[in-house]
Amino acid sequence: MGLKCKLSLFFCIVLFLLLAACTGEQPASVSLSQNLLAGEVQPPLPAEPAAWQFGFDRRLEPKEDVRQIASLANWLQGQTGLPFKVYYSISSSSVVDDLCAGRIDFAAVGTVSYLQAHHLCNAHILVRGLNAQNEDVYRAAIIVPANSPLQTLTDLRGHTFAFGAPNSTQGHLIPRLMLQQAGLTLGDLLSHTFTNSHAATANAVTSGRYDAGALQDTLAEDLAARGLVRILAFSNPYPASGIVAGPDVPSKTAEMVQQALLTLDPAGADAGALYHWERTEMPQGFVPARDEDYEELRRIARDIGLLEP
Amino acid sequence: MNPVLHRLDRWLPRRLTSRITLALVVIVVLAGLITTGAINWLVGHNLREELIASGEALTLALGENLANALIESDLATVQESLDSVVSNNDDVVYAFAFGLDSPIVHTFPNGFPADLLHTIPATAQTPGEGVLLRTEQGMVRDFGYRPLDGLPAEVHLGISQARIGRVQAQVTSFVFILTVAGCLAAAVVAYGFSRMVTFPLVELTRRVKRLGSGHLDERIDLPPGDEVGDLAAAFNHMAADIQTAIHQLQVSEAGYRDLLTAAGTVGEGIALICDEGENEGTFLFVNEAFAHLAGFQPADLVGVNAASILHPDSLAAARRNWQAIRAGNSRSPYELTLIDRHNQPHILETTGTIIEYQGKRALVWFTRDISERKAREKELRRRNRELTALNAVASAASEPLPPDEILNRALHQVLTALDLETGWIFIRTGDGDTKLAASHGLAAGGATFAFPDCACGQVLTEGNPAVVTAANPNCVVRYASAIPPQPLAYHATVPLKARGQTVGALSVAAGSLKAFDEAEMALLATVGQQIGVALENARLWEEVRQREQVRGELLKRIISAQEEERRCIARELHDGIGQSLNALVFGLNTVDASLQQKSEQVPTQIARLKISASDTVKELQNIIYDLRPSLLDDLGLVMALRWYAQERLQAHGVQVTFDVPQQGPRLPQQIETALFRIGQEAMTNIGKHAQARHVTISLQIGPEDVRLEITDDGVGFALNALAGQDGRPAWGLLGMQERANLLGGELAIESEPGQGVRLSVTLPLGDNTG
Repeated sequence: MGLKCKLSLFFCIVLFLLLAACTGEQPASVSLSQNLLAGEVQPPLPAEPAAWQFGFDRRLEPKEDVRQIASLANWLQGQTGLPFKVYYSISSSSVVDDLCAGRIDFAAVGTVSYLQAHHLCNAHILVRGLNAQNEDVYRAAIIVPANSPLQTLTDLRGHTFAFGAPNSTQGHLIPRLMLQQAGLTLGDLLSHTFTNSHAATANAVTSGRYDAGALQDTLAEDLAARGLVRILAFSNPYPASGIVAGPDVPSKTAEMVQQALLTLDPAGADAGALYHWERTEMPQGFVPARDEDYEELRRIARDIGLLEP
Repeated sequence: MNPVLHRLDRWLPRRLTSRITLALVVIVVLAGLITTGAINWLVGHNLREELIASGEALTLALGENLANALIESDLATVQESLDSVVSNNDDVVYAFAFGLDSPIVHTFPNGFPADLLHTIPATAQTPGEGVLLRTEQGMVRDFGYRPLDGLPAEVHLGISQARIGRVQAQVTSFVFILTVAGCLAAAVVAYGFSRMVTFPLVELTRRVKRLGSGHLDERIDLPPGDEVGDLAAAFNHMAADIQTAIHQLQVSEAGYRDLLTAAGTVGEGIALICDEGENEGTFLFVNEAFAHLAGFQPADLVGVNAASILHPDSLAAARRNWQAIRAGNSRSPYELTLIDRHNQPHILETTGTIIEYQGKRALVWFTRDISERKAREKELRRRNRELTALNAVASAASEPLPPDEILNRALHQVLTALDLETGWIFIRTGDGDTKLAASHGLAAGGATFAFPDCACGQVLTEGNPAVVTAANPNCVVRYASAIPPQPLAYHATVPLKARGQTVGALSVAAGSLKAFDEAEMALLATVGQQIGVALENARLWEEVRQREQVRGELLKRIISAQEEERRCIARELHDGIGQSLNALVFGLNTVDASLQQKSEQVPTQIARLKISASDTVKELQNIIYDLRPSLLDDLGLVMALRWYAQERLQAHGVQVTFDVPQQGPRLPQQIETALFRIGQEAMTNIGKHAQARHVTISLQIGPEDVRLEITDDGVGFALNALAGQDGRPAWGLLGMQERANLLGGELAIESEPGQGVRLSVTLPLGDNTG
């Protein structure tokens, strides 16, 4: 290498190092002290295009529920070519009301919500989920603290009890059926309460604030495996949660969505498109669902007043 | 030197100390600049990366915390969290968020800046590197995050980058101070170091100058181990090498000078010829010997092209050999011809080699004038050829061969020696004419050409060599068969001499006159003389041979005649004297018996015995006379001739006339004997064959010689008829001839049939007269 080349290379390196201190990123000029907007300022969001609204029953934290349903809505959009958008039902409303009011077209709901929507506006179920054991049913479990002296359901007489949400199938509907089958009514309990979620129910039991509680079987088994609770009893299996279509959804659209959902493979090819789908009640996908599968649960729901009016 | 370095060198200080100091300062400054830039870049880059990472993490964390509140539109919780983030993080300039169908919740106390509405909606789902904003508070990076996928809720954090600039300014100031301090330290260290380094270099320079000024024993005593010490050691080694080399060079130069002097002394010419550039081929240097050889002064030849003094025929050879010398393939001498100032050629034995001379490649040309040696060699070859020819001729002449064969061989040897193809030899015949005795290369029928008509015929008359051209229509070479491609235009003729007489001419023909230069003509003349001598020798040899043959025959005849004579004497003694003596012995016996028995018969018997004894004595005398007449010894030649003529001629009726001196001196015995025997043989022949009636015998005694002549008027004879069956003359005549020759005389016989015979013999007397 000639001397000229060496000198040129040296100065190029120096120049590069000096210039490299600058990122080259062009900033936008913004004034933080001028042109201030007083009062409420609405964000300048662009208008949303028309889409099929996809609602859900709240199960976990709102953001987690939103993310899971939003990922399913995106997946359905990719599969069917139809626009979907997640819809969050505010606490003052409910998924059943939104379905029957037409604000929601599809929804991932539990058995109670389905029975109510079907009862109120003839919403129909499209598919029901497969649990981790690849079963299209689920059970409820009644737990007690690990050191509880209670051994059978009848021992619950005279003790406090924590249910899940009033509309929860595993947290309320099925446990009521279990208590009924054990000959107990709410009046036999010392007291009872309704929490907003299975997690809250578990906390209520493990903390000792309640002598027993009802929650979904998978969570109960997980807690029992860790020695936090002891499972007092499992329920019989009942049809699991599913996807329902509102009364105004055209049958062809509902059928298209149903067919797409039946091809979902959350643990396989579609795992990357879904957000922590293993935490849902339908981690292995869906199977076709019929309204007749829910007759027994509809009866107890009617008995305990969930289908009023 | 590289042009860039050359220009740079002009701007640099000259002292090595200053250069080292300047170099170190420059290095430190450059290092400071590079370090500043590098650290600035590294710090800025890392702080920016750190700020982005922390901003992203903080925004993500804030978004996760506010996600549920945003869904639930719990604006109070959102406001509280935002305020907490801004208050707990100095770099966070602002924060704002909005949820589903809710207004923007922010931390600006005086209202939300309308400019920030441009950051909504966020460019991506995650904060990423954010968006850089230039604000009145400095550079601010806005991180936006949508925590709820699919729902219009965002969280924004504005984080100031002022801290990066402050850190970079601090680093730059620190490095600048370090650079200045480094420059000062570098200057001090460089000055001290350069002084330390240059001291031995200065010392080394001083020693080198002394070495350059001729102090070859200059050495430097510095400890080895470092570069300067190694340099000093290398200097000492170099100085020793230079001293040795210069010594060797001086020795070599002295030897070279001696060599040149010696070469010049012995006549070795040396010239240096430029071998490259525009002066290629010109002399760069010549020594005295070379210049003297060329007839110039040395200065006259410098700059002259070497080809100008070479013979044109030598130019190609010179170029070829000099090319071979350049290629390193020629070491053997080669010959060239040089033309000196007086146009005289000189044959040079030359050789050469290539050297560097005055910065140029030059051919060293060694020359030696070998003209004399070549001339001597040429002369030697000519002499060898001449001697070869002469030797060959002599060899041919020494053999007992007929003259024609000798001439043929001699001619062949001459042509071979002269490398010619055509030649011929004429010789004189006994009748004065000439004949072609030998030839080579003549056309068929060439033997008939008329030699005397050619101009070369005068050689026979004048006896001098001549060179003749073919312009003469009668030139001999017109009959010669020319050897292509060169016609025979010339021939040279030299006389063949024997005993001072021209006995013939030797001619050779050639196509060029060069074949007959002085040397060749001298050779031809010598050969001609040799051939003449050879011819004479051949002739003499033939005579000797014939004479020896005759003598041999005569010896045999003498022996035979002696035996015959002895038989005759024996017979005569046996038949004559013997019988007579026997009869005498018988008579004596008879007398003896008679004395005892019949004594009266004794006188008669004795008388018969006396007569018988007398007859015996007479017979004995006749025998003795036949053997050698006593008259010759007692009364001399004339009386002996007279007695014999009486006995052999006159007794048979032939009339003999004597013309002899009456009172002459006695001649030497061998002359008288020879003349008597010749006369005896002649008279015997006359008595036997001539049928002559008259014979004249003449004897003339002169002061120098004696002449006997016998003439008869008999039947005579033809001389040819006297030859025997083998061509030789009759033995009687040969005997006479031989006797005359033995005494240096001559014998002549003249006769014709019917004309009688005249025989004359002349014998020199010399000092033998009595």
